Amino acid sequence: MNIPLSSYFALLKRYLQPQRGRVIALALAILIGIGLEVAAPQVVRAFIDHTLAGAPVASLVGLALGFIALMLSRQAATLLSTWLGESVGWTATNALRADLALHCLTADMSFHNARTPGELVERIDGDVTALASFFSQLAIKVIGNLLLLLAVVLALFREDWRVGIALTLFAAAALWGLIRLRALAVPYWLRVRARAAQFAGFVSERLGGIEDIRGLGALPYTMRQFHALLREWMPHQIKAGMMSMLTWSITVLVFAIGSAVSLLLGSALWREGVLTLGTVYLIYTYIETIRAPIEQIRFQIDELQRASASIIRIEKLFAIQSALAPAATAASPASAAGPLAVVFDRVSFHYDPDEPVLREVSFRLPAGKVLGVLGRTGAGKSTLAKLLLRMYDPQQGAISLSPDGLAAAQDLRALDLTRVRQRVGLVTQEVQIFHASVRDNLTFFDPGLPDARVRAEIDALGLGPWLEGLERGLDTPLKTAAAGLSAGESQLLAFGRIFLRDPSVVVLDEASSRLDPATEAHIEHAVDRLLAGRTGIVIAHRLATVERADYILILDEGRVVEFGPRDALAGDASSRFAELLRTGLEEVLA
Amino acid sequence: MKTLRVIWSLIRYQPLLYLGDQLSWILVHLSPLVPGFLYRAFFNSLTGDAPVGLTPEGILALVVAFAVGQTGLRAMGFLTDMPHRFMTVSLLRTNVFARLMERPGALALPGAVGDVFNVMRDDAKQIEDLLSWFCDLTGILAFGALSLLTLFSINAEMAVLVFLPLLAVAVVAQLAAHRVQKYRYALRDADSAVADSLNEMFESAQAIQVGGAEQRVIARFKALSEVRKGAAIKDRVFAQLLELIGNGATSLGTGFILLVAASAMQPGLAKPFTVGDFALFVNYLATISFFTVFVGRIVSTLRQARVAVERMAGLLPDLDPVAIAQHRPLYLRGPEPAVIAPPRDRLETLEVRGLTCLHPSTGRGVEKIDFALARDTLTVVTGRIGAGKTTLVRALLGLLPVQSGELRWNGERIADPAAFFVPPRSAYLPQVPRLFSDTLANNILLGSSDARQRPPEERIREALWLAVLEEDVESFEHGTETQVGTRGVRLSGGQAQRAAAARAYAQGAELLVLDDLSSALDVVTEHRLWERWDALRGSGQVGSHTALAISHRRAALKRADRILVLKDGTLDDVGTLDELLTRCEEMRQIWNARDAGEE
Repeated sequence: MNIPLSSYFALLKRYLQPQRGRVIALALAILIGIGLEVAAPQVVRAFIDHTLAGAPVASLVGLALGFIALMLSRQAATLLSTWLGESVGWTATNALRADLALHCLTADMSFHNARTPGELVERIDGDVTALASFFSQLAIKVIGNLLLLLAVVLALFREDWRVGIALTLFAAAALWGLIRLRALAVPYWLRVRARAAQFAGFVSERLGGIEDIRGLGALPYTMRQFHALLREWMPHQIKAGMMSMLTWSITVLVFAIGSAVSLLLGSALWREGVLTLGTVYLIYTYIETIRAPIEQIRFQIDELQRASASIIRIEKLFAIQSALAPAATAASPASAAGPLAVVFDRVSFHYDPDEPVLREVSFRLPAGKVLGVLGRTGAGKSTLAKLLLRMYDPQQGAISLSPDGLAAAQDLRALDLTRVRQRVGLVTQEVQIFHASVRDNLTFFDPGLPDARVRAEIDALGLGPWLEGLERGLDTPLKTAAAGLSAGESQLLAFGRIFLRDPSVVVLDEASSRLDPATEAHIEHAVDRLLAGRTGIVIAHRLATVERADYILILDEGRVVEFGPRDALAGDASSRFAELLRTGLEEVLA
Repeated sequence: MKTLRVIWSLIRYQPLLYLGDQLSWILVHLSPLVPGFLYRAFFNSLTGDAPVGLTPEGILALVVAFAVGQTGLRAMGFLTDMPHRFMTVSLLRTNVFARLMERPGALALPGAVGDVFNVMRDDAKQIEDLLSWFCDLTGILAFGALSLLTLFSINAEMAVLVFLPLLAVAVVAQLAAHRVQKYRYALRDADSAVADSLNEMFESAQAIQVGGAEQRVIARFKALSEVRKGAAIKDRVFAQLLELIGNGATSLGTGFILLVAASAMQPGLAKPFTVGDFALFVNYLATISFFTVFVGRIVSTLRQARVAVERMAGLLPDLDPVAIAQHRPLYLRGPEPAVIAPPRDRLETLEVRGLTCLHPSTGRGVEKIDFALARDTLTVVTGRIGAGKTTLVRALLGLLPVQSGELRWNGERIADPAAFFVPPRSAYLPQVPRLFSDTLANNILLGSSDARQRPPEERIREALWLAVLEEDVESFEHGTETQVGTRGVRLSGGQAQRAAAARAYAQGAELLVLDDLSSALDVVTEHRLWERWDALRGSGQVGSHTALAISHRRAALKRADRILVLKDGTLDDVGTLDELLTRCEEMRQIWNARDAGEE
């Protein structure tokens, strides 16, 4: 698999441009190193020729000291270029990692459903780390080493044109061969990385599910799967290693041949008296000198092979477009705070074309009113919420938000995604807790919210005593603090997040179903507060949950069975809702 | 010391392969001695010093021939090194993974999943590198010794001048070593923090999106990345500095050779230093520069490896560090490991006496619980949140370490509950069940075979029906072969819950332990689920219908043969629903709570 050079350059340009100054300094440090490298053998040549000519010891000592000085300067240049190189490399890869992480994080949910977090960590951290030297060294070292080769060739032309030509031919042939070898091992490393990612996904997921595995006696089965993954991985790893070995060996062999041929020529010219012995030695030293750059280029090619495998995977990841249509105008839903009306207009949606989840769902919920959504599991209730938060876009129809539900209605797709999500809040029953402080968990890392406000919310939720019990207050890591929290209390924290964001529309999805009755009262109070002055959509499993609803929507297999004001429906004896109330929910919907 | 024990155990794992690896790399590292000699002979044959009876052309032909031979050596080196590396790193990872999986199942991991995996990936790799590095060490030390001997035999005075700087390097490296470790620790910690935050980011992607916190989460990730950048630069630049001190000594050595050669090469001496000798000295010195860097790094490499060993062993804090290098088959070829279920053990009674299980840090949990359950009965555990219901069943099943208590199965004491309570004896549905990225069928069977010898399709069909999932599955394009996605995310919340219930049913176990079976289900589905349970129970089919279920739902409470009411970690009361409603206040509160259902 050959990667177009343009991909390399595009990446380099994008991430090195912002740190141009340092890149130039790095290039200078490397160039100075090269200059010193070419100068050193000249000193040795002079030394040999002077010695054989019987020069005074004092001048020889001077040459020796000069050589030592050159070497010390070269070390300094190397240290400087390491520091600059690392700094450039990490700055670039950090930026790339952040871009990639943001790209993945903003992708729609179908993207996340298809990938394990472990796999994404491997691809964002693992693959990008493999690119570190690509940024810091690769281009500059490849160019630097090519320049070193050129400098050596020119120096040899100065000695004798035949030696110059021989070495030029050799260097050109060697480089041509190397470039041919360039892509040899890429597909092999690509497969190795794919296996590594698969392994990462498996291990992370299973480590997260130990309780299930142990409680179901599935440990032997899990271990067998684990071993099967290793078994499939090993041959790829060995093959990839052998391909890299081949690249290395061919380089060394080609080099030995070139070296022998050049010395053969040198000795012939020495016999004719064209070259001094010092110059034959110079040729020998220069071949040793270009051994380093050639091995360097070989090494960089290995790096490039690894990097190429990573680049391909990174580009694949970047190429995945969020299925959400970008907003054309990026308008915000009526900038003023306050409740918004929600309108679903013949909305159809499916994850899989053969399995429609919502079919032509239409309803209009006026601003500030509460809608209770009823229906069996799988009737499409949760999907309704996901569409409203634009985790997915409907295939047909439109959803719109507006202050009055009429004239100013705006299609969600025309709105800025972030703003939509600022105005619509969702409480699910799974509460995600981050390895961060209580404050960051509640504010979602928003440092703009004052502590007093956060504290006030915690108090209002009845969690004040809990907060006071924490050693470091709001700075306590929540993972530790939550050890003393019940599921119900964790749920209250999720409410806290919403209160702090103060959205216009609130969606409560199965929010209270895991709570036991005795703890429920606390939540009740919070829900009342949450729905006050906001438009609310409550996805419920029990009739009691929709007592506070102004409107009722009953879904069945993705279709609206019934929609209307709660009181009207309750009063109409022929309605499904009245039937539900009369007979109790279960018999009717079943 | 413990690092050495770990390394030694790893070496003994594949001793022959490792020996082959060692020998190949000794030869690979020794091979550069030969071209040095050939180049010396070449220059000497030009100047007429110390002829070896070969023409310069003949010598150069040997140079090429030897290079071909070296390729063969390298191929041999890789062919032994690659499998050995893979086996070493896999052994480490397997040990850590298997041991973590063997701990009480509901115990928290020794760190976030991302953190644990990071150690399994990187620190295991570091130890793998160390073993491979030992092969290089032997070869390079042999090369160093032989080349020094050669140089001594040619010109002892000059050899000393080369050798002295090398000694100095070793001393400097020794002095700097503790700083290497410090930088390495800092870098590894920074690495973990970055991997952790990424893992968390994608585990909570939906919550972050819904919270509109993408940019802020990325900003936090960037800050952590910056910290890692600083740590990485320090680590690398310091390592490079040590390397340069080694390199510098070599350059200095070359300088000294030139200084001494100024007089030694003067024509007319008894045993003059020839240009060929000079070529040999410089040639070896160039390769020795590799040697000095290597020797200079011995201490730091070992320290880095120690960091890696400590971090790996830190994942298994309760065990001897050598556990990470314990020998076990990797099944890389040959038959795959067998999956053998324990024998079926017909359940008559299960007794629990004095079961106490308290969380070490919070002190919350359950204390002195006594109860018994009989075959073909439904026992419901109820109570408020935080009453200890989940802790009780976890402790019973051995998923949490208990402080005291005795469990008896048909009157016989259970020594190791964790190993005992597995299918076909029991099957468990956790409160927050996890599904895995695989097909629905594989998730339901989890590799189990059936004690009643039914074909897998039949077991799945029955389990799906019991879990009220069969209609959903019919609507899936690929039916039971549908991929459920990471942690089952391609299913709806209710579907995932019911798939996990089907998983528990499919085991055909004597005892079902269900933690809040219906929590994610709507009332209709819950109702059907219990009706089917009743139907099966009344069918008189072979098999047990014994269950221990946590619930506060009326549908479950009404069906219970016995109810255990938990309050603040102790057993408040036990009895039938009617008995409890008359005498137990806690029970009445739970029953009358709004959420319990409208009937």
